[in-house]
Amino acid sequence: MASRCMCRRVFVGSTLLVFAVVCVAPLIALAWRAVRDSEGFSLDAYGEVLSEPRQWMLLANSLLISLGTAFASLFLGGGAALALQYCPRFLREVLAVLLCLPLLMPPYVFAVAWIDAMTRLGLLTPQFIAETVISHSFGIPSVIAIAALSYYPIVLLFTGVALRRFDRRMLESARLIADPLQAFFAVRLPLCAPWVFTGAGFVFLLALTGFSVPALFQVNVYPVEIFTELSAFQEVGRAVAHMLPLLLTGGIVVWAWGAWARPRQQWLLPPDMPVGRMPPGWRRAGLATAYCVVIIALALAAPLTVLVVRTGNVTQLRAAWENAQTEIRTSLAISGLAATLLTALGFAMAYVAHGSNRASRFFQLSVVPFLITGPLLGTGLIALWNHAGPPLIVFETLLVLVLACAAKYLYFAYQGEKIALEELHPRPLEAARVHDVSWVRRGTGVVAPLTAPALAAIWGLAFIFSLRELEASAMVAPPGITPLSIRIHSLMHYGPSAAVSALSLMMVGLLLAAGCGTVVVYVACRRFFHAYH
Amino acid sequence: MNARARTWTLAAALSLSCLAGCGGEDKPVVVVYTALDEMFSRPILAKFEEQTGLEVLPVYDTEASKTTGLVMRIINEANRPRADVFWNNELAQTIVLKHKGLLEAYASPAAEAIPERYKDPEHFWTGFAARARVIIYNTDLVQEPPASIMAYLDPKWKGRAAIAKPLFGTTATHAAALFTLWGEEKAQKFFQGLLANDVAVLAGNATVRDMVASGAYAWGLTDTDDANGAIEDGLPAKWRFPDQEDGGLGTLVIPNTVAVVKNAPHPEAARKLIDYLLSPEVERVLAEVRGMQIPLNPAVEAPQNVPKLSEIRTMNVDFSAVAANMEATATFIRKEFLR
Repeated sequence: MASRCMCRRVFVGSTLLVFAVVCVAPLIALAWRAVRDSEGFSLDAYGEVLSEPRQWMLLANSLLISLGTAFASLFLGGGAALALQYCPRFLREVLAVLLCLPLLMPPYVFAVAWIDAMTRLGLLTPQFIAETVISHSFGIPSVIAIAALSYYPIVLLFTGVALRRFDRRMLESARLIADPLQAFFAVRLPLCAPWVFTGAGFVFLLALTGFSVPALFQVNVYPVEIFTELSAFQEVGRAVAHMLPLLLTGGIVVWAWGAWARPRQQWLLPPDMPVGRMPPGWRRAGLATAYCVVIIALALAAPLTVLVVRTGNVTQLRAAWENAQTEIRTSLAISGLAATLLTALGFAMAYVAHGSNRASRFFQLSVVPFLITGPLLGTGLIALWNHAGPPLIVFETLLVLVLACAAKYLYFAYQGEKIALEELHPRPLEAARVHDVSWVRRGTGVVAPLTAPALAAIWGLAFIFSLRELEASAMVAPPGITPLSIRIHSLMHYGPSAAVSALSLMMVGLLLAAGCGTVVVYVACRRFFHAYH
Repeated sequence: MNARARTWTLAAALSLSCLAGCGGEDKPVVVVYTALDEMFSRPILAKFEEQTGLEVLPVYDTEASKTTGLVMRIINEANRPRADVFWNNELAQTIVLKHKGLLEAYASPAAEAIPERYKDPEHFWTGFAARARVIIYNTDLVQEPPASIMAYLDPKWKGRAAIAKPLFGTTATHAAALFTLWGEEKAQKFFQGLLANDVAVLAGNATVRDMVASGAYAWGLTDTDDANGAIEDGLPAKWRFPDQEDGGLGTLVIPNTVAVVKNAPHPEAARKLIDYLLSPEVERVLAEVRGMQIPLNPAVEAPQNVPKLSEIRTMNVDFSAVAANMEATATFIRKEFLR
């Protein structure tokens, strides 16, 4: 019994230790750096920064973009998920895959390619772009449009889950006493809303902390201001002060999600319950298919066409492939290690938090490294690891890039695995407990296999996001170690040139391969472990 | 220790040793942080590797972080520098690093032919291969191009001219140079005048070039490397140096700068690399590529299309004063331009 207690303590202690190293230590190092380097940067000085009139503009722009992107993604992603239900059966899966693909394209590449595409198609003239989109007046709507076209697949995926779990029998019962619209608003929407708004919440956070698209369209938001403080003034203290409104806004969204949406997600059926099918109808099918095709054309076909046209020919693609072999290998190694660390740590955190509210609250800190933006996270990592001796094993190798990705995306891995764990049927765990299986063995022998499909999905998503990561990596990449995302951006000075387009296509190809691999492993896990249990 | 624990321990030890091996240094290396575009700097560094046998570990700047990303890295890494050499594509941020005490003096013998005004009197940095600020104009829209940057204030060009955001890169240096030369009051009036005359403030110099070449704007201010790109691409654009009349303001010439980072881990190799970068061979190569950098060494034979430094009326400004003015200028610009 004593050894079992010891095993549990070791498991919990190791989880807390790794969490502290990955997530908490860089934040403490950043705070220390801000205080040390900003002589006399007292609380009054923070107050002064935050009471500048510019703050209202920054807050308004940040909120407008985040809310606008979340709502536009809701319209595009939620609408597309609903439309997919009505599409002809033989098209449904192809359209679903195509609708998810824009998630694989980094937003900055997407923005440049999309503007270029619209210009080439004659839909936007250079004059119009210059006077409206890039200059002043339409900056915010442009950022919202680009970000929404890039992030809507997140809402699509969450809405898809909700619709798949929705028991149509409830809708049919409602239809007995109400018209279709009333039934939709009274039954389907409230039940699906927690899942849909979970997707929209993620989009909100991504848009809130996004730097590249607002910077391209000259819109001043907090991440751009933080970058300006660091790069034009080298003021870590002021940059940290500007981080506080981001933390507050993000914290409110996370709290609201935890308080409202999270408990209500369980209103829907657990996976694999029969849900019924949509009735066929050619008119509805036509409209739904057209809706999906328009979104695919805007979000996928136009930017991809531009990248292909800009690349020119296969020779260019082959040359880019040969010149970027090292960067591709580096990126794959970093993303693979980061995804593995994120999945393992996320699982351990979720399992520890499952039985402890205190741990659960402590692990909420994992959202902070994501909200503080890449440059500040990088600054924290440098302050933490750039010391002679053992820390150099991290700082001088690609481990520092792995830690940057892990810190940035840990919150999403943790939440994903927490949801998977909470949805587990309690019986297998109860059975294991009755058979006196230890707490640690229950985690590794029962919970891990049963949540294997979720673990596979989280590994894949973590891999994809780590492969795209740029802002924190650009601050800490050791000399001679260059991930593909940094290589693309270091060649970007002259716009989307042939080389940049070829490398971007390669990046999309890698992400696509990772996405396909994840789907295959996910499906295999579901089949294998479903059959096993 | 049971068999399973032994296996895990062995695996962990192997992984750590592999990762530690990634950072291992088998042959002599030199670490360079370079803000010059990768497409131009990579071949030069490869040539240096070939000639000396030293391995060069470069960190290139990204378009997302502009020049200042590397400066911030050097500041953040001050307690244990990773970089040996900082190769900046401009000058003001290098001087900022000097003022922060993050550079080491080195008087390279290869810098003897470089004019004094492009070298630090205390040898903390040396300039080479410069760019100049130029007016780029669309040949379909403009018959008589503006001859001075003061044309930004001319109502004739209201809403038809563009400039890059003067917070980053060479435009920030140019703004600080004007503050230094004119004094605060006149410079502030000039920049407020730009906004009053609806001058478009774009993301960067490359965007100014693209927008002028596409006809969205009639003219704008950019650098010689960007302007030359438009000419090489056959776009309807030409460029000229502003303020070249007798007694005129002149144009700002901004050299690349190299410096040894203080407490660099490989100081000997750093000096070798600096000597190589300041050689006439490198200036010639940088003049021949698309970036069209103007050689500062008068002995360097540049192609016909590259202007000679002696033929340009340059802005007579003290670069140290410009660097000292950077923060005050940026504060004003941020207040006026980022509303």
